[in-house]
Amino acid sequence: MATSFKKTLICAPKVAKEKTTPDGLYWKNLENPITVKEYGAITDIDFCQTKPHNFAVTNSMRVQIYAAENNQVIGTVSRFKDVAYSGSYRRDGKLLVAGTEDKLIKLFNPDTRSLLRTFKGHEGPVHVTKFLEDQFRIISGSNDQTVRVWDIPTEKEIHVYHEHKDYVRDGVSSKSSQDIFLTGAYDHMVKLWDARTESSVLSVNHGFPVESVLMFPNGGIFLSAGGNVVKVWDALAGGKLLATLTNHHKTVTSLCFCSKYERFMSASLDKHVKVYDVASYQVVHTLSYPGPILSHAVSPDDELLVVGMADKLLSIQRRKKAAENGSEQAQHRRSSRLKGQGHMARSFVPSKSDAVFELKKREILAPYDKHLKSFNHSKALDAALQRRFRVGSPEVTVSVMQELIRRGHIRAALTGRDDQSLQGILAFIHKNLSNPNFMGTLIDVFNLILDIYGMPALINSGPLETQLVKLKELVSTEVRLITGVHQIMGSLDLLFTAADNQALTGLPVGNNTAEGKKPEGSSSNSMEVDSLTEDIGQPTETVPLLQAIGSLAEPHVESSSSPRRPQKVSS
Amino acid sequence: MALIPSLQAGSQFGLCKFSHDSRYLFSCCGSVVNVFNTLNGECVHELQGHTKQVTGITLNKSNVLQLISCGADGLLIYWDYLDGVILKKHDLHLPLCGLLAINAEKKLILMLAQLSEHKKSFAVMLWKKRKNKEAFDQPQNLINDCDANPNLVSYGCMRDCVAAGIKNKLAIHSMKTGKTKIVYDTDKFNKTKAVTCVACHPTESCVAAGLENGRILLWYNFFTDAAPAISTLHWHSLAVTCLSFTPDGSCMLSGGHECVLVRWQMGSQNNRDFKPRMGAPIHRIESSPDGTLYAVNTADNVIQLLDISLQVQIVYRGLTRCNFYVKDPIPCGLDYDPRSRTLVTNGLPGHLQFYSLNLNKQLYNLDIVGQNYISPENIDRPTVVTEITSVAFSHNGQWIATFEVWDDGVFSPEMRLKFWMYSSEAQTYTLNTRVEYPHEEKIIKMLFRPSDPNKSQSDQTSTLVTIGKDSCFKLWILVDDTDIYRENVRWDCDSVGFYRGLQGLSADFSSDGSTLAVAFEHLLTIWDPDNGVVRTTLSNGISPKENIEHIKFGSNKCKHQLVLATSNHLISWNLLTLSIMWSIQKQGSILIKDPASDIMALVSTEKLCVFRPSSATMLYQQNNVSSSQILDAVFVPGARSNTLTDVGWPGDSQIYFYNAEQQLITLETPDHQQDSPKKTKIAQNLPQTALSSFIAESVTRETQDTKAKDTMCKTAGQDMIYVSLLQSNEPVSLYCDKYLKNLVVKRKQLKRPLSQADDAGDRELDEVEESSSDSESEEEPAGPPLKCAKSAENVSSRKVENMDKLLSKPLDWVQWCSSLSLK
Repeated sequence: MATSFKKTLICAPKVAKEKTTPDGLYWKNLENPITVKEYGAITDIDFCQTKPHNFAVTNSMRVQIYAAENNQVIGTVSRFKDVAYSGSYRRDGKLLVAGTEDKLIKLFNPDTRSLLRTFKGHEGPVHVTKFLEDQFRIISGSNDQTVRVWDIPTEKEIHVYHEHKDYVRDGVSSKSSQDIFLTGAYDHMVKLWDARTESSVLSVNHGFPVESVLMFPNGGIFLSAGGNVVKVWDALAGGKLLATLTNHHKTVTSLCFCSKYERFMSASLDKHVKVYDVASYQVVHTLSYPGPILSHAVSPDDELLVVGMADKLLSIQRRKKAAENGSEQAQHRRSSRLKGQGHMARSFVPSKSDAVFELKKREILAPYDKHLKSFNHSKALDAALQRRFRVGSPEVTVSVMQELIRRGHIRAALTGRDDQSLQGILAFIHKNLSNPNFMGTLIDVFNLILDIYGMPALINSGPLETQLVKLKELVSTEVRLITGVHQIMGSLDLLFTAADNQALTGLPVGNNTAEGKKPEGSSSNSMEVDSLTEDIGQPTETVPLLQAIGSLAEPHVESSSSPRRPQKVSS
Repeated sequence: MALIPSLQAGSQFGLCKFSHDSRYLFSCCGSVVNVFNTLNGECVHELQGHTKQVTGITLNKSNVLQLISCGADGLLIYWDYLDGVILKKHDLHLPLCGLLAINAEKKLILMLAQLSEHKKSFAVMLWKKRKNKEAFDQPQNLINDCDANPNLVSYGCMRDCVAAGIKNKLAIHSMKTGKTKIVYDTDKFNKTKAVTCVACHPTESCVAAGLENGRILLWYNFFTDAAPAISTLHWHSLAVTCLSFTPDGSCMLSGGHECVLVRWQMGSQNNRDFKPRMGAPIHRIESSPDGTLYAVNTADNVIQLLDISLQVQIVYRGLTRCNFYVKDPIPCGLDYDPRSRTLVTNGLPGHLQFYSLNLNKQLYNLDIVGQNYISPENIDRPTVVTEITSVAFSHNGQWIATFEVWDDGVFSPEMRLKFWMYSSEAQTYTLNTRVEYPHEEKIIKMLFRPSDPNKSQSDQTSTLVTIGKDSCFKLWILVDDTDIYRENVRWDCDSVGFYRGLQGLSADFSSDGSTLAVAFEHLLTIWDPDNGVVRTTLSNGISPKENIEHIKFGSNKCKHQLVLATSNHLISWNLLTLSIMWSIQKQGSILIKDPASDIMALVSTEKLCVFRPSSATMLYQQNNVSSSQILDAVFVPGARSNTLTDVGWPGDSQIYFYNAEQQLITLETPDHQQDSPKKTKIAQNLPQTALSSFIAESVTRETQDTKAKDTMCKTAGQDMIYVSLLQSNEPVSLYCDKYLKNLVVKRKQLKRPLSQADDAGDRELDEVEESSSDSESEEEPAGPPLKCAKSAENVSSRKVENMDKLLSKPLDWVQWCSSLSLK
């Protein structure tokens, strides 16, 4: 049956590398970061929930307000006498609150930067200030180990909670209830509060000093971060631990949601931001930064990712827009062209006698496939040896070589090449020879080159000779390596089998024990034991069991020639 | 009532012709003429009347609703193709090879015929009808020494000339003048090349001939000029196999081994159109009378209808003939797909074909390999294609496992195991997992594990066992590969098994999937597939020299029975008593089992034997199933009609055979033959081994006391058999820790004298240390501990030596490296 040309199959070997996932692509689609050097470590970043999603960055003795459109500072609140903490917006973006080192909580108008209220009462530096969902109250947490609730209009303290036993480090208010909020402290405890009651509603032990807490909008599940661990808790099930995520290797400092609550992020002192799936709690992407991260935030529309680091750096990354627009434009152009055609087709009605031919859609073929299709084998090899394939995806080059071998034209494709192109091929072979997936094909090709050009001709050319010498070195290294691997595998096999049998010693030495059966580690692995079986298996056929064992124990038996290191065994 | 073999499918499409209105296409197909509708592709009629191959068809020019066919049986038959009835029949008493033209007014028939039944010489002959009589005059030979290939003769040039290619010459006979002229090419390049096909221009005095070297020559004015004008067309690189002019003579179509259809515009010969990748070498091209359709017959037994823009409109498929240049047409054998109830075997190169028995036509070719078929540069040296050598279907048809090999013996071979999943949305198979080099050598057999009906589906993992030539078998299991983005499953290697380094030859799962039997040369091992444990080892019961070629577990009532086929014997083991139930001498190359019942069949080219594993009585035997070698056979459940169930063997499963002529054969009752059922109980042949006496006993006593081990142990002087019956054979792995202990203990012993020596004094300690570190310098005997230490030292050093010896086995790498260093 007539078919269309089948593209060359690229047999990409499975290598342990980062998989391209939709999330990976999504988070890679960020512009180059804009980095701003601030006066002090950036302790808090908060996005305004209303458009245009400006964000407040708290560092040293000020809270800076950045415009989301141009990443420029549009205002600085600097009416602090000491270090400021936790500058956060009210939900409507009309108020901004911050705590200070000098035990005060200050409330500002972010547009005019005018100080509206000052809340006094804490006996230690205030590290947490957040608005409650009803917009009229503020919660605060301080180094004096208290959590307090304040009334904004009257500047009065409504509640003081003395339950935490150490510095309170983070808090968050529930989005589903006006009175519920959550705090985490250095006493390892995460406590859920109801502003209508005098004590905490729920408390869970995180196990490490809590640096950050986060609550899902429905209030049912909350997260806590501290140490290098993020924990997920179910508030409705009375604080049941749902998951423990230990993906960081240093203290996790910050948590936030992104992608419309479908993902959340954690940032850590190990300079990484990790993105998790909220359903499976699996890490779906990791972003790296130059310094230990103290705080980070994502704008509600996912456009901006702002990360604040301990070494006073603020990184602002915007999602790429230009490219998308470009592709949209291209699409638009294409569709308009199609429309034109459609218009033509509609206006012209073919008469009965006209033969109508559909415009054939041409499949886009890779350059090497084009040459293969027209049987230009030498050119196909040239195309496959282009830099982008040779370096970027050697499996393409090897697959084309394989296809040429299958077609029986590899010899023709390799003949008549000048030194430079030969050098390219040899360099390619040298680079990829140690890849076990490519080894067979590349050895074939190399043998063929030696056949075609002959040693003397190759050696006479200076650069080719150096290539050959390099190749030779590589081969001997490879042989050494493989020999070593086989030795180790042989001795390990022996040990494993012995260990298995040790475990089975309780069983009678009967005929029902496993022989040579084990999980597939590698194919050569099985080969090794195979040879062992061959060596020992035969003589025992006629000899009774005990005798067979006895003869094996004797040092003079030939069958002990399996690869193993006695020194290693006895040590 | 005896069954007779009947051809199910596989006859090849021969010549084809269009009806006058292009609405029907006639095609010779074996001894029948198929009438196809060109609009919907349905087969309208099968005209049956010839007893041998139909070789030529043409329309009756005086009555276009009549079709005339001739056959190798010497018959000339007039058909009414619309009703599918025979109108007239003439016996010309000569094997006819082709029908060129019939002129009804002049009562002339121009045919290519064999001169006699026995002579291999052919001639273009003219039969004249006697006036007012239905008989024919003695034929007149127009051109002698022709070839039997109908592509080599042509009639045309304004209904005047007959042209025939004879070796490198062309004989042209004019009907008007009665002259014959031999023309050949004067160009020395083409002179010696044989003519491979001939076509006469319909309206001009022009004859085209395709040559072996791919050139097409056109002769003009051969009767008027002394030296005819010749023009050469060259595009084909291999021999041109067929040539055809369109009815108006404006275009010429040519085809060859390149699988490309070329359309040449006459007059401007550089102007040509191509239809590449037709799938197979082109055998014949025919254009419809109105010139809008071309019928192209390709070597894979397919007729494709192309329109004038060379787009494929309709495809008529027969059983695909595979591997155009290779001897073994179906390396993967014949399989039955339970899901679509189709027979599956190799199709086009790198494809599997699905042949529906219900519709009795081929459904489709499934592309497994995904590589373009490249025609060879030289017909004598065909390119090696990637072949599917092994196929397995899971028991619900959800999965197919395929194994493909490319191996030309020179370059490093390519081997791939692929798992295909049927997706009910797409209604096709999609590739799920691809494994490069699943074994170090080729896979010779693979099969899926049947599911246990007593367990739920979720408890059981799908398992596939593959047996490789690298003397191990692997178990592949379906594992979950789901992540947060998609749900997926894939296949993974679970474990590797081997036995004494013997070559695995066959394997089978028991019907409930709980037991796996693997044949290793002459030994049979029973495994637990879940834990990977050998349960027991059995022999073939005959001799260690006969390898077990096939094993099959019984089903239903014979679940516990395992039937082995060696090259000469058929043996049935009872796995519950571990005894041989029966053993008979029988030759057969194929052992198949009916998936629906407990019967099995042993098939060889000469004979078919159907039996139950429970007894050595043959239920049915049939000789001479096929004239050529039977390559594979398969039971298809539910394929036999009810009337047949009392004939042959019980059950409604039908056996299908595939022979070397690429035909699908089955057994059916002759409609008008009433014979008594041929049911004979064959005498049991006693095998010529020492076991023969025992087996004779065992069969007569049936299963009463066949504790094989006991009985045999009592029989003296037959050690040679028990050598292979090794239930007491120790696995080598048991020796590992013994061996290690041997090493470890001796080191401890080495330490013990040291601690004793601490008490005794420093002098002794020094001596011990000195002697143990340097055993060769030691001269005086130093007591038993020292000897021990010494021997331990020796052991270890010898071990190291041996190990080095083993490691220095001639690796390919090492050789290659050393060859490099020699330069």
